[in-house]
Amino acid sequence: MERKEILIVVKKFLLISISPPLTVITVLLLMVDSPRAQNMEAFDSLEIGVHYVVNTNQNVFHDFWAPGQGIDAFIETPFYYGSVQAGFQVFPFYGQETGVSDFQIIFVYLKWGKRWSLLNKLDWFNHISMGSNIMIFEKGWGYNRYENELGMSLDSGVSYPVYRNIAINFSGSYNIIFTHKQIKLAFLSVGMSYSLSTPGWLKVFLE
Amino acid sequence: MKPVLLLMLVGLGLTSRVGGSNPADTLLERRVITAKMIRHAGLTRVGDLLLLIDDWNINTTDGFTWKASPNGLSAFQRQNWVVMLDGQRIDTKVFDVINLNMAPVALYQIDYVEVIGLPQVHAGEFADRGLIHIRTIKPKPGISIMGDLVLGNETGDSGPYRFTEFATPNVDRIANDGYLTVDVGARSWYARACLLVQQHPFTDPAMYGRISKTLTIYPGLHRSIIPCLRIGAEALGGTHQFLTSYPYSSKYFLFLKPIGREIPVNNYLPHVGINGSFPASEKVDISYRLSYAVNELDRFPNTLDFDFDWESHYLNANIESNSNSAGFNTRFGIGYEQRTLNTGYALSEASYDIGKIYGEFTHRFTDSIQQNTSGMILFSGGRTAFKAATSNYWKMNDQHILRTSLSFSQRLIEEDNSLWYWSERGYDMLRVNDVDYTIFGNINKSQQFTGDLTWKTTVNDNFTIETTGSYRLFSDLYLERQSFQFNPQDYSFYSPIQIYGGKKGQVIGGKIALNHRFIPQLSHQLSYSYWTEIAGDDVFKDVWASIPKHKASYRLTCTPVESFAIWAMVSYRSATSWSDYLNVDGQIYEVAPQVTATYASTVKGVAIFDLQIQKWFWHGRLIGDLLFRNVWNQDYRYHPIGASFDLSMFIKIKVLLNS
Repeated sequence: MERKEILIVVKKFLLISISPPLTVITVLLLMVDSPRAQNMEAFDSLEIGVHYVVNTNQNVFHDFWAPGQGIDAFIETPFYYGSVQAGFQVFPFYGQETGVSDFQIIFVYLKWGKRWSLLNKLDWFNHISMGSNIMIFEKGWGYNRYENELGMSLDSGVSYPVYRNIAINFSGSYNIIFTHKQIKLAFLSVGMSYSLSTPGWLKVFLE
Repeated sequence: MKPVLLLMLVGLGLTSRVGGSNPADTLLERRVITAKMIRHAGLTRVGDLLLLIDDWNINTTDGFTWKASPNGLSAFQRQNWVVMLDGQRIDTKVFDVINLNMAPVALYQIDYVEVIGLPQVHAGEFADRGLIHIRTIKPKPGISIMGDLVLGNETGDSGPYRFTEFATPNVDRIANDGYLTVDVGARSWYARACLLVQQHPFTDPAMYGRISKTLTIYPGLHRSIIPCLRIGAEALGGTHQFLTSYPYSSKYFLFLKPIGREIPVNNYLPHVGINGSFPASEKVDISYRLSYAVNELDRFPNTLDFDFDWESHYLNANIESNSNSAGFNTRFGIGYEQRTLNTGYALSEASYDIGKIYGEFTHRFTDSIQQNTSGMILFSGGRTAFKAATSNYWKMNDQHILRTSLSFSQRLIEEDNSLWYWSERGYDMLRVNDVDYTIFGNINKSQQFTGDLTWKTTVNDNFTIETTGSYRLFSDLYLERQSFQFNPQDYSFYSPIQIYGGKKGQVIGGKIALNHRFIPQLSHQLSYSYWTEIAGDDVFKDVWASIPKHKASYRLTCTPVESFAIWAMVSYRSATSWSDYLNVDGQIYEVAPQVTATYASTVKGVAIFDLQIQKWFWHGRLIGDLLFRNVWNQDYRYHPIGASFDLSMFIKIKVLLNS
């Protein structure tokens, strides 16, 4: 193996390990379990939530499109380690130039993450997610109206129970869509979630 | 040849001093890929099995059809490895291309795969250039329905930027595959009907230009449909199996290296065969195989008006006896092959026959020493070829095992079924299409000698180390050499062809494989292999320069619970050099203002990270896989003018319903 090639491989490993967002999320996700997490068995409970979402960053993408307001709906359950979440986020963007189509992104995702108990019932959660960004354009025809691209996001937020099984959540996320020219979007979201025990039939299915 | 025989006798002598007691599969060098390994690893198609064979180097121009260099037994020229499915030889080869994805089997049907990388007799074939034998799971009693859906998406689409100055061409989905099988099993018989549908785009920027110029329509997608039927029964005290399939590929872009581009074809590969075994006496079993296959390349409308006019018929039959007595296993067999070419070209000979006589002798000298010796004599057109191999297994103690393998084999030109064989007999497809070729020297039967020494150490129950040193000597090979020029008019590559007969050369290699299990739920493997030519002229060395000298992989499998698994692999291939493409270095094809393909005769070394997450639901009836290939989004390719493979995501869903 040539020395140069070895260096490239080593550099790649180092880049992964010292990449700030990945380092932060890795450290957070691998931190010790909170008492709550330790008491949970996989698929014991479900948490269903809906969030209101706004886009907060500005970059080249926003020279062409202005963000609207979106929603995020999810269902979360404890996993063998941490928790998993499946959901989708719908977000519209409006063209700012003639010929630039309005479009909506439906990000269908799977998340994995962990949560920790902070002060006074306040939970802190972090997730990493991968999924498919389905883009639906106003202009175009047939299949040409649709595009599908891989996306990844990291999010962090807090959750506070306000009444019995109902909690209020606040989080921020950073999304990357792997188009040829990558689209990077930051979102803030606020919403509510409801927790319940997993029905027996569903637990059997999930196990 | 005398030194070769002397070396083989040394091998025999080495084993005769000691004795062995392990099962034959430890005696003969073969890798086994199990269903569990396939399930955990990031495979989407049968052809992807080659990604799991550490000591085979692989290469592709399109990501669908793979070439292999099996354990140093050949370079990427001369694809002569054999594909078998449940005891029957599957003939998917045409013009030095073996399309494993056209084998009539779905990944989830596979029980295990035997990968033979050292010459030896196997199922009536002498595997002097490697062999892959796929064994499927026998249908269970009752009715079972299995379905599999694979959706793959490569990153790099234009997305909303298509409406801006940053617009780039669309990237097609890289898989849209579906498999369905219905099994019916009873106490003494079973039947399996299957249907495989595969879809693959040939629209990577590196190939898009030259492919689109051959068509009047969008290059789009290639589709293949593979219906198959397998019936098995127990009778006469043994087992018998019938297999038939009708693989069909529509708008398949066959990369024909001599003309430097892909040609769209419709490819038909019907196969029908029976095989089985039954006891002839208390100590003797009889095995038989009979199969008939057609490989037809039909014209797909193209602007080049290229028509292969090729319909190859292949008959393969053999019968063998297998006898066991205390410490001895003896096998004798005879075989017959016939290949006939139907074409509009006037052939001097439209068919050839090959007769085979072979034998295999396994002796267990003691509990720790075994020896296997096999040989085959082939006859065709008044010429003969001799093939022989011997393997020795010595278990020195509970920790150390030493294996030696030596082989010498001659290979008839007929066995290769090559384009040059048929061109010499009047199949004038190249000249009709204005491709000049010249054969220098004679294309005769070739010779090969191999020697391998493997030392396996079992450090403890959870840790093994295996190291191998290999030597290969080739003579009388015929090798092609070209000097491609880029044609900016249609983005293709062209070159006259020189075929040199009588080439010789030597290759050495080394491998090390570490297999470690931390805990039952967490295991990892590290492997590294090295191949280099040590003697031969420029033609031989140039051909071997396209094989990566270094290849390494690290795999991690984590199954914290039975229904959940994480699999990760980092693989590395060193840079390769392709002398045929020296003149296209730096040529650029501009696909779109933002996208170009730059061709180079050197394919750079690269490390790739693949990751798969698998979850079983409903007690294993539903399985979902999420696979990411090239997570680091490296710009990597296998071939100087082949596709590059960006970060891709695959979703696989399997459903199993049984009575």
